[in-house]
Order: sequence, then structure tokens, then C-alpha cells
Amino acid sequence: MSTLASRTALAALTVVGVAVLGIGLWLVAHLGTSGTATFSASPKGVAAVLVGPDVLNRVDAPVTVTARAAGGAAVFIGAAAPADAQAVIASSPHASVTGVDVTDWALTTSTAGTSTVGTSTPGTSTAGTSAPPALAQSDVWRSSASGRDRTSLVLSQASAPESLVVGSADGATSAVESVTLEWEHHAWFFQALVVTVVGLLLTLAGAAGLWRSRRPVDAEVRR
Amino acid sequence: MTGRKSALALALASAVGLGGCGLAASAAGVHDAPAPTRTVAALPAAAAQRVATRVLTAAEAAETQSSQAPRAAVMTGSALTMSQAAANLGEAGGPQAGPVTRPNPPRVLAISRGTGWPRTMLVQDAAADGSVVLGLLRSTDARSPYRLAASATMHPGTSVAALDPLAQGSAIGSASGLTTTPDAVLAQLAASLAYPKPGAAPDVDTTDHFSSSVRANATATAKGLGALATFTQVHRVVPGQTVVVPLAGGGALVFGLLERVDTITLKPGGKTLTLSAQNQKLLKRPTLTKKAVLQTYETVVLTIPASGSTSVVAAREQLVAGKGE
Repeated sequence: MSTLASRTALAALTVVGVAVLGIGLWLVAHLGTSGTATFSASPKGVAAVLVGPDVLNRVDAPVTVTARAAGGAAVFIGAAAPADAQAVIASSPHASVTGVDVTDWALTTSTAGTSTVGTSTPGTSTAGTSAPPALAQSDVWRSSASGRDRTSLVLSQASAPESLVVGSADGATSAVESVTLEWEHHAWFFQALVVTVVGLLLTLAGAAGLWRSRRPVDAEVRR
Repeated sequence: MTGRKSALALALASAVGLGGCGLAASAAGVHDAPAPTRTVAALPAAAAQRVATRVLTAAEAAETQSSQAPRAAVMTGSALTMSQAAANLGEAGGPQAGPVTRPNPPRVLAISRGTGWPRTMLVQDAAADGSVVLGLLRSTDARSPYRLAASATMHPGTSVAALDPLAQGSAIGSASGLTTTPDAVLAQLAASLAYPKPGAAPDVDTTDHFSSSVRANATATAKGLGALATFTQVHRVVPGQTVVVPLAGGGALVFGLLERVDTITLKPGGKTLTLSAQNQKLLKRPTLTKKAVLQTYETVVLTIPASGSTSVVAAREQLVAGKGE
């Protein structure tokens, strides 16, 4: 292999190493020593949020769901069979959590229906939509939690697949301010640490190779 | 050639990138969500227990109210009709000084299986007098809470055979391999309780406490009226009210609703007949000069065993309407 090709490969190795090291450090910083991955969403102006099993049940670790209501209103979280959660939501305006975006540590959402939250006139939904469900009146919940301003619910994966519905306990049109999902998986911290170490080794190997390959050239130039 | 190399490099890079993402996801323990299963109970046992306790506590509290609204919030079907009729006749308990408390929580015996609607729960509860009550709780759709749909007091010495495990749920509403259909046994029971000419009930053991009591009361009423009036009693099965809960070892537990119509007809030339205090309240008149028709609901719970005769294990009756002239 020519000297130029060798140097190019070593430079590439160094760049890849730095990138992997950066990713590793970034993961370690976000996951912490507990290996906790936290993703949030702040859907605008919806009274209910639906989180399906394709988000909740993709890892075997328990997931902690925290919801906040706008203006200190009461907020309810219920876990149910996916078909039941969908039936409770029906055609009422809501946001569906469709996945997680690791680059932003955010929940990706899509909105269905037209929301009327934030207005002071209940029952003014656009035609084709139904009123927000009174979640506490339904008996489909396998587990639930409710509170004023903020509430949390921990779901084990024992009952998977499950869906979550976040919204108003009594059908009020107050908005859900934010939903946060948090998975704690200790192995993730060590995996991030491994990525960091691998990145560091690649960087050192690449940099050392480059340093060694530069000296003969320098000597030739000096002669 | 350069173009081909670029395309190949792009394809390789994509494959490595996608493979890398998949490997990273796999290494992080990310997998597809498990597929839903339909052979489990609609609610886990703990959640069902919470629902049953809430509904029965609220129903007990509503029994003490005279207005219908609290009842309608926690009862439906025949349970609501019978409870409101009892309140109208002044048979319900008086207002409670405080909230109703239950020393012993109800026991959930069966829960609907799967994700269909309506859903039913079979519960066993202890009444204030120590008797055991079987109750049916029903939820019509995902947004409607469970309500008490029917209840009946178990007869002393009777029992309910084992039901399917709670976690597995029960196929409530259907039972296969029965020796006779639920509709048939209810029709036979109704016929056997007619007075003065009872029909045959080859598949039902009618020596139970409820059947014996109904027949004895009819005979006593007719005897009491003597030559003053004639007394007839017919029963019919109220359609759409039958609920079948399959038993684990074959057979089924059947909740049915019978409507009993008692007719008292004064004989020609007869004098007036003074009504009992309860009937005076119902018919809004103190005496009869021609005829009275009294309508009573009877919730009956029968066990259809895998083999052998069907028997009544629990019953509840309530005078609900009447007219007199």
C-alpha cells in the first residue's frame, strides 16, 4: 500500500474514532450511570396523547411515564390493551407517539383530529371529531394514575403489549403539556462506555499511525 | 465505471449503515413489540377486583337513595328496575349516616375473555344479613364503566362449580356441549312455576328453595282468597336478559330474568277485596272491585351441569308494577 493510501486510511480511522468517541461520550452523558433514556414530547393543544406498544414495549425494561397538564389541571394516565386504548380515544383529537428520536431525545408524534383545547367553550370540536374522553370513567385500565398538574405511572413489561392514554380524568378539554417516557436499563451505560472506549482506541490508533507515518517523510524532506 | 463504483459504494455504505443500526438496536435490547393475544381476560384480576369493589360499594350506597340518578349511575338492566321498584315501594334501606364501607371485598369469579364488547364480570358478595349474593357487572363499551346488571341471593347449601381461571378469562355468553340450551331450561322453569296448572320441566330440578317458595306462596294466596276471587300466576322468560357463564368442567351458570304476572280476579257478585299495604302503595288504591294484575321480576341463576338436571342456585324477586280496578 502506498504511503498516501496508508495515511488516508489512518486519517479516516482517526476521524471515525473521534466520531465514535463523541457518540460514546454523548450517550454516557445522556444515559448517566443508571442507563436511563428519557424522551419527551410537548404536543401542542391536544387533550389526549396515545402511546402504543410499538413505543412502550420495544425493550424489556420498565418504563416510567410522566405527564404534565397545562395550567395545573388534573391529568390522568391509564394503561390498557391496545384495542381498548384506541377505543377509548375513538375519534377525539389526540396526539399519537409514533417513535423516539435519539438525536433529540424526543418522542415523535402525529396528531389526529382537530383539537379545541385551550378554548373556554367545551364541545366546540370540529365536525367528525368527538369530545375528549373522561378517562377515569372508563374501566379498561389495567393500571392508572392521576393527579393535579403532574402524575407518573411505572409500567413493567409483564403485561405487554399495552397502550397508554394520557389526558383528562373527567373529559375536560385542558391540554396535555408534556409527556415523558423513561427507560432505565443499566446495560446501556456500560454499552455507551464500551462505545466510548472503542472510539478512544480507534482515535489513538489512527493518531499514532499518522504520527509514525509522518517521520520518514519529514526525514526525506530534511535530506 | 466511476458511476458504477459510486453506486456500489453507496449501496455498501447503506447496507453497512442499516446493518449497523439494526445491530446497535439489537445490542441495546430493542425488539419488536409482542403481538396481542386474545385468549386472556379483558382485565387482570387485580383491576377487576378494584372495579367490582367500587361498583358494589356504590350500588349499596345507591340503594339507600330514593332518587333514580344515583342508581342509574351504577346499575343497569333488571338490577336497576328492581332496585328502583323497591325504592318506590319503600322497601329500600334508609339514608346512611356516612359512606358505605365493606368489611369483606367482593370476590371476582369470572371475567370476559378477549377484547369484545359488551364485557361481563361475575362476582360473589356477602350481603348485610350474611347471605351470599351472585352479581353480574356489565360494561357496554370502552367509555362506559361497569354497572351492576343483575344480582341474586344464593340458596343455602348451593354452590357454583369451578369457573375458568381469571387470567384466562371466560367466554361469557356462550357455552358449548350443554345437554340443554339455557333458553330451554329457563322456559321449562317458567312453565313449571305456573299456577294453577304447572307445566312439565323434564330437565330442571324444581325442588329448590325458590321454586318451592313460589309454588307455596301461590297456593297460599289462592287459598286465602277462597271463594272471593280466583288467582292465577304465569311466568315468562324476559328476552335479551340471559347471560351464560361457562363452567370449567363443562356445563354453565345461567343468569335469566323471569317476569311473573299474578292475576286476581274477583268472582261475579263478589265484594270488594282489601289490599295489603304494599299492594295499596303499588296500585294506589285501598281495595279491589274487579281485578288486579301484579308484575314481579325474578332474577334466577341456574347451574346446567355437564350431566344431570339443571337446578336453581340463586334467585331474587321484586314486585315492580301493577294495576288494579
